[in-house]
Amino acid sequence: MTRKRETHDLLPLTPLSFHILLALAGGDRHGYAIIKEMERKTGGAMRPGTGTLYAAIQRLLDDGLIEVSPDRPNPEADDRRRKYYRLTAFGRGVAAAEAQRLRRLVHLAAEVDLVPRLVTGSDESRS
Amino acid sequence: MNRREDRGDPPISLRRLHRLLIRVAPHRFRAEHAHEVDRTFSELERDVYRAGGYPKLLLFWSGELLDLASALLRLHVNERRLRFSQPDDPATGYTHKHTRQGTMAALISDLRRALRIVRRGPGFVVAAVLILGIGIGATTGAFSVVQAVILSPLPYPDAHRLVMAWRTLPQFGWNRAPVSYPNFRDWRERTRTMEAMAAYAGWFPQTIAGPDGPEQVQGALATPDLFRLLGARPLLGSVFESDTGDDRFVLLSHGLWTRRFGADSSIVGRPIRLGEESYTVTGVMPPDFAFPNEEYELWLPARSVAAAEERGSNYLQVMGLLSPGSSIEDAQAELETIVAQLAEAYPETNGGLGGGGVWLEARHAFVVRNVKTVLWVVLAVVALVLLIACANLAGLSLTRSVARHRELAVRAALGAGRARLVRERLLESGWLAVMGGGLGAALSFGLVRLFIVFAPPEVPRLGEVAVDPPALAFTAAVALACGLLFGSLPALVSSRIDLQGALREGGRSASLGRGRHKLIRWLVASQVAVACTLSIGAGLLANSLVRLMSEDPGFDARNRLVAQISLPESRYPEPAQVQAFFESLLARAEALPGVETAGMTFSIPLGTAYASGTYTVEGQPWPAGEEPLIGLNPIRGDYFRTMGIGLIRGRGFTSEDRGDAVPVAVVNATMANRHWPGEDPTGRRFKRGAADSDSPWITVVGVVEDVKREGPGSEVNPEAYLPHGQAAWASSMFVVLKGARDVEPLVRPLREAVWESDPALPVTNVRALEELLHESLAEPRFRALLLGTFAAAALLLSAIGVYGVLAFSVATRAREIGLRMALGAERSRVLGAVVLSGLRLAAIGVAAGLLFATAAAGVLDSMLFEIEPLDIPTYAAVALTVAVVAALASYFPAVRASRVAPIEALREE
Repeated sequence: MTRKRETHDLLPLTPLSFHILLALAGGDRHGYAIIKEMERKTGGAMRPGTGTLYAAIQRLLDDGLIEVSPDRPNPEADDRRRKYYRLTAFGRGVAAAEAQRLRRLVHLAAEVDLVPRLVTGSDESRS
Repeated sequence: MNRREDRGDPPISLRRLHRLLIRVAPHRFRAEHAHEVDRTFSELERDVYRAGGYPKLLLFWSGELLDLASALLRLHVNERRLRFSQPDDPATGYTHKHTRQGTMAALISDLRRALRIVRRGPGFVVAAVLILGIGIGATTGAFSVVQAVILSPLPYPDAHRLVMAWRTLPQFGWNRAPVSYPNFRDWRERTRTMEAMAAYAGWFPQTIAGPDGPEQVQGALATPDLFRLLGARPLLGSVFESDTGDDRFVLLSHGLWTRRFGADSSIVGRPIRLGEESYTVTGVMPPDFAFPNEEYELWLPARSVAAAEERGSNYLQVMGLLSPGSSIEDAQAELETIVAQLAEAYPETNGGLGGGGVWLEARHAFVVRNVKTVLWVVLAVVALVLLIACANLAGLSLTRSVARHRELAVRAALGAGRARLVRERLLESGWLAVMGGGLGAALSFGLVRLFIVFAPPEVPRLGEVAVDPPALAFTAAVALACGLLFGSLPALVSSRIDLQGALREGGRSASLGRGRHKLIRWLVASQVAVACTLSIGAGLLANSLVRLMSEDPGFDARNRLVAQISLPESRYPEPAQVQAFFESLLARAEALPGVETAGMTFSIPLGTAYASGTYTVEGQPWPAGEEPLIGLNPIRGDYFRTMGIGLIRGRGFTSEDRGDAVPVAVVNATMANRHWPGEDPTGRRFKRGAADSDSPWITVVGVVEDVKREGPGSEVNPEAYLPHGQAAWASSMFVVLKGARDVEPLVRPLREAVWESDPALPVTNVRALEELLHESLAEPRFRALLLGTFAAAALLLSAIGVYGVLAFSVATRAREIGLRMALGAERSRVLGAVVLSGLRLAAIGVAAGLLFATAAAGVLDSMLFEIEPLDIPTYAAVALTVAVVAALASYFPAVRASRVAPIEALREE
């Protein structure tokens, strides 16, 4: 049912969308858990309001990057009606492409000495 | 289950409001996410409350409300894009590049439209921005003050565990009695519920020599633990580690250090002279250390007083830090036991009259004790103002949305989506919010500055007062949410309902539905009611202020200069030396050019020095132990004439009334009337202490008018003036100079006159008496100003409300009015009818307001002076003022109505 789409059509992602994908890459989560995960990863720097978060979730659902997960990771502890979201294969691809794009940007920055050596060093050794 | 018990859930939740606002979202979003958004919101709300308490919660709420507004906007944009773009992608339903441009174009056109609307109705915009600004500004300003002074914890580590421990003397009705050092030491040694205990005492002024002559600075005594409890570290050096006075240590404030010692850091460890003694500086405190308040500039060990080791010498205030596991009740119970044990062990000092109980209160409660009521009243008043502002905005938005009903209906009929219409409303509210919020922020900063300038010195923690960003964000969000709710919901509703009907009806002119019209009138009437209530409160306070200002304090303050001179015991140990010093100083002061008369007194009105004791009147026995108190005031020279205190009977003192002559006194009218009513008190005798005391009989030689010692409105107690020659204990006296004109030029000559006889003496508390009198009214003046400001804001807001309703009704009835005028109605009658309808609205409000006021005025009772809470003239004046304001507010729409040109009104068809 899906037409062949290029992941690059959707780049660049907004920081919020990218963070949602990052949070879901670590496992299926509901909205509250996504916020918490985001806060943890960014040390509190990223804290979207609930309205903004769900507007973004809606958009990611529309774009087919994420979907509502049929599984309940922990059915005992959670309200049955809670919605968990998970990354689609396409979403994973888009997130990876975004990460690649960011890495290239860091490279460019490193070339003009905007990034400490350590980062570029490890980056080069991996590639 | 027990979540509520561990204080996990916030006491107030905005979940319902949030849920209500989500309803503005597009249908698809609501169906899919409303439940999740709601759950997430409430979980975050709980988290935030647990982590940061209610200030964080306010911040969170305002963030969420604003976020929701912008998210709703975005959702509607998305929705539109989905619907109108070409579905060339079966999976997503749209292509991105294409729609992004389309969205931007739509958004820009909407923004333009919103701006145009704002431009088209400047009256509405000005009114809305004013309402928002005043509401946000006043509420934020007042809340910031309450937040800083009352709500926020004291700026010490573990401030919530700090308590004050007082001795109580129930027989004297005394709750906060000081504690002696030995008792404090025993409390500290025996307590288990408190982690640490410290003691301090204020009011130990010290003399420091300096380039401009000796200066007196305020000092406090403290135990070393005090600085630890307050989490204060010295900027330089260290705090003294012992509390004996023998070591002669001193800690300097940052201010004193910079002022007197040129911020010289080598001062630590060096000796400095305080009065006659030499003290070693152990450290300098940082600039923000102000304890007990900003007046204090140096600290000495707690036992630097002579009688420190006497158990009966009570001079310390005790502060404790509760151990983490104990409550204030535990500590109270424990200290009661300790106090009882001590009373048994030391019956002479700790039993009987010197005994009594012990009372613990939170340090915070102690600090805010005097201002709590006033500030809570202010907060309640401010909440009312915010309420008026919201009601006003709601009313205005409602009328406006109805006025635009037809336009909206037409555009809906032409295919504009609901989303688009809603988005427009949101953008429009957004413009208003930005402008209103800006004005409100500016106002709140101004109001807080005003508060700091005008606040009486009794208000604690003034240094901590600043605009509270969470409060600003919260009030802005509340006002905005209110505007959004009332501004966009009607748009939603109106774009949903039957277009044909709206168009048909709107073809004539928009009109309010009956129900809505009523609602708006009620909103306006209740605003008038609240404004009326507040104005009555302000009127009562202003009225008592005027009465206080015109009250005769019993002395004449004009052109009087006062200054205090205190002789140190070390250099003036003999009473004869004290007498000789003041006698020669008085002679010198009288001879100063520009001085008409001069006198001296131990206790100046409006000052703090005061001596009192028990007394017994000859022939009027009193039960032993219950003798009344009398104020004793040694004076010298022509004090009564200098102060303008009238002599009613008998004589003043002469140079004959010396130490070796018969003891004499001049009493005040209150004392004369109490003991010798209708008789001549001269020649009568009284003595200090009980009937069997061995102090000598004092003969009354004169009676003077009462002096309101503590300022206008204060009570007058029996008072006796004594000749200084017969009251040698007074080694600290105020010089009073009566000048012909301005007394400012007398300051320097007076100082020099003092230094001529003793160059090491500081001349302190140099003030114009008139200034002191003015300051004594700072508190009532402040209260009247505060309530007056808010009443004015409320009145202005409700006037805008009345204006808004009438302007709208005139606009919508233009055709009807035109028709009437075409049929011969006179301009003046049209004018009168509109003003009358405004007055009718106001009348309901005023009636309700008067009722509220009679019920609420009791709160002010303790702040009123010589005026009843139900003072009829005040009520009448306020009712009249409100009526005049309402009439003015209706006048402009009325004029517009009377200028309706009949032809044009009809042609508009």
